[in-house]
Amino acid sequence: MKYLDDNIDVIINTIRQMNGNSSDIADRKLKIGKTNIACIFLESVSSDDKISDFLMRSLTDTVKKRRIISFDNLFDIIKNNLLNSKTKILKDYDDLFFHLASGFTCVLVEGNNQCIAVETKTKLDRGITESTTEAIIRGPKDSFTENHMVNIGLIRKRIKDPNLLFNEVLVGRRTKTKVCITYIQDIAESQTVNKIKEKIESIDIDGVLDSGYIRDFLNSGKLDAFPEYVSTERPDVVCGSLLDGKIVILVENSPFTLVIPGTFIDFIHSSEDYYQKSINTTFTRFLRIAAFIVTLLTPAIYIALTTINQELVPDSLLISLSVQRQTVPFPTLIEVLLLLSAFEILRETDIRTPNVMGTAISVVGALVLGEAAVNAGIISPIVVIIVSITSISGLTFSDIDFINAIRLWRLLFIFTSAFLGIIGVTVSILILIIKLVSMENYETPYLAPFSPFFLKEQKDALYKAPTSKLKKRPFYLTKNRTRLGD
Amino acid sequence: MKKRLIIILLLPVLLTGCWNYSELNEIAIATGISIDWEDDKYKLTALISNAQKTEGSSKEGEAQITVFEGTGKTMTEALKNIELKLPKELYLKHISIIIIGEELAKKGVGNILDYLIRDPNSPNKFNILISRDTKAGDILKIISPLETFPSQNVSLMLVTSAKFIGSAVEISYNDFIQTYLNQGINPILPSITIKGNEKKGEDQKNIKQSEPDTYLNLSNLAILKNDKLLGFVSERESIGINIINSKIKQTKIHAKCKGEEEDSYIVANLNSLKTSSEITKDLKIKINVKATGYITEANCKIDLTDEKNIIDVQKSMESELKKTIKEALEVVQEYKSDVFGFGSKYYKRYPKEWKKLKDNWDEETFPNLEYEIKTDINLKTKGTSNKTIEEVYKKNES
Repeated sequence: MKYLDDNIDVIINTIRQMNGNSSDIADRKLKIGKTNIACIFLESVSSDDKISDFLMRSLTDTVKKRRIISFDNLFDIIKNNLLNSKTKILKDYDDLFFHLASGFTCVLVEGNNQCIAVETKTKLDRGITESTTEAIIRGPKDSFTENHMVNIGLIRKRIKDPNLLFNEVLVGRRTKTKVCITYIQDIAESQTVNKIKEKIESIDIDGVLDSGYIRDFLNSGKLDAFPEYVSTERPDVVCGSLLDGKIVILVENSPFTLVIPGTFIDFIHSSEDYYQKSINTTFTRFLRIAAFIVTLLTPAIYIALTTINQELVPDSLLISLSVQRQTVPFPTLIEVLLLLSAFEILRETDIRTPNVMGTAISVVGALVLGEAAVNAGIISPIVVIIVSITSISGLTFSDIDFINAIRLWRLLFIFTSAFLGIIGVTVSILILIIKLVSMENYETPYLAPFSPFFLKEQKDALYKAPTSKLKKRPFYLTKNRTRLGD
Repeated sequence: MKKRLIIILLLPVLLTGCWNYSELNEIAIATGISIDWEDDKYKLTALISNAQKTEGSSKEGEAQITVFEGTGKTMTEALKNIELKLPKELYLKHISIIIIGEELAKKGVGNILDYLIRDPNSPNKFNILISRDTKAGDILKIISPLETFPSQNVSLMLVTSAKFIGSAVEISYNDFIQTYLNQGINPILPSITIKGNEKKGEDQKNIKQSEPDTYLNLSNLAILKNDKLLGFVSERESIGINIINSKIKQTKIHAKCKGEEEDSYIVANLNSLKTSSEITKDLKIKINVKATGYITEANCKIDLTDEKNIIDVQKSMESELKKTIKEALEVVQEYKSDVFGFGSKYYKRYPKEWKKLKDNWDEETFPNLEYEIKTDINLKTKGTSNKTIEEVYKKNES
């Protein structure tokens, strides 16, 4: 740590040298009485308007209005007369640069070995827009942005409880990213909060660019494909989780927050579930479970039934399937894998390509994969149907980690079924269940409330009771369980 | 340690080498098999259902049937001879019917059963039929206008017949094996025959006509003793046998009108037929049939609103039903083959007494059993009209 000098030129030069004469470092020198004053700021992150409107004006006005004769305590005078709401006194170079990079303007006064940092941040975000990854029909549509304060604001706006805490930790040696542990003090388990805080504080990494960086430091280190944390960009989801007693991690510059702990059922639920009629929600949830099973098992069961366990297929269906396969040159396993990977590639391209080229891709994808391959006899029509059902069902879920986990497990299912038939599928299902049951994060079982089974928690698991009947919070998340007053 | 564990866990999966793996386009799916006895050899006809249609078909996945024949001294040899003619593996697990030729049935079907029980690749859920007055192989070749596959056609005929008419009955492989192996019961089998010219029925033209030249027709029940065919009974007797065996739920019954010319009938559809039959220690059969039904046709001059008339109709129907059952029972007793399983019932209740009767049951005891038949019909509705249409017509005229 290097303390500031008392000569403004030395300070300015040191800052410039520290940053290798970067082009966005700007300074403005003026003289009040006989004392030299300098303002230094980074043009790229500061607002010109704020600097000229507030800072410069207050600096010059101070002198004029006060008719200052003695300039001995000019530093204090300036400090007390600045119009900006956020000012800080800085004493060393590292701190000075950190504030410059955060959009502060530093006022240096000749002969003082400290400086005043004034907030003159410019808006470098795209504003609050509709959520693109978690679209819903009914309910609030706003989503988090890259701006940390806006994100915090979107939560504060919804929960005006003094117990809602935002504990900030700076992570990243170079990026110095603000990571905010958010929770409601009297609901969330303090033990869990402390554990998470400890883990985040112990992170020693050069940079954090997204909440995805943090997530890897928080989990148990086991290789699990299924995500342990819900990652959401919807403030209403975050607030719902906070009210349930969960802990949310906001990371500066990332619209995606982490909700801890995540359970399997969280990925089946959607925030919309709470805005619609309960009976319909229950139905939708069963539909999602069905989609989960379909997207996981369909290709595997198809392979098992057509290559090993043909005796399980009804006569007329088997004959129809067999005739469809007459011209196909590949084994069923290869056929399914080919088409599945073609779809995955198509999906990946669709994400990466600019919107203007989207139509071209869908035309090529639909025509080449759907029509031509079948007509050429390379792929049987039934496999196209199977892969379509699988893919469409997989898109029911919004969490990309969850979708990818399903994709990975699907592959395992496909291979075991190709080797062992229905027995292989059964064994894989058992392995999956064992894996899911043994998962646990921050003392919450991953399959709660199904395994271990809690009858009283079933009101908001698959079955959704009307909100007026949901009297208590899940007990595996919190001890303060009263949700509904008498 | 962990690596070793993974390898050990992977071994059983990878070393199995795709046990009984076969691609769908590499198997020839047989859906029906017929077995004849010709020149002291088995003649097998397999109906292959997944040949691709070559001409004039635009729809993907439309199938055509083909028939392959093979002869041999044993079932296995005959099957092998069929496989020699096929480019694909013969797949037998989806066989839904097996048709046994009349000649072979007279000779005995025990050897076929042995193959079916023993071979792990043999089919295990199918219906058995006997072909009557025709070669079993010809039946598989007849193309039906309503169903694409002859085998499917026959199984569906069996189902509908057992459901609505009651003269045929579905006898699955399991039923047959059980009755064949159990003491004191003999098997029955449905029979099937061809109406019309056999050669014409093999042609696709047959189904393009509005009135097909040739079609399959379910015939009456065949009575077997152990594994040998004894003979066939009439349609009425078939229904009677099925009622006693409680194999059917529905049948139609005709009753003559009281005090009228001969050819006017009142007809009822009986449903929820319930039969309870038992045999007493002193060898007396008691058969009790209960049924509810509704009138489907009434050509008599009676007033159906009058409860007395309904009771009269019920009574005449009860006696008609009793007659049907009695005839069936007597015919079977003449055949000296206990297809009702009274012997087996007796064995279960009185095992000690059974030991004495066991050897001569079919020959002596069963044909001379005394019986007592009770029928109880309850007509629930009179259909949609109270009076016969003729009466209404006359009333309007006068």
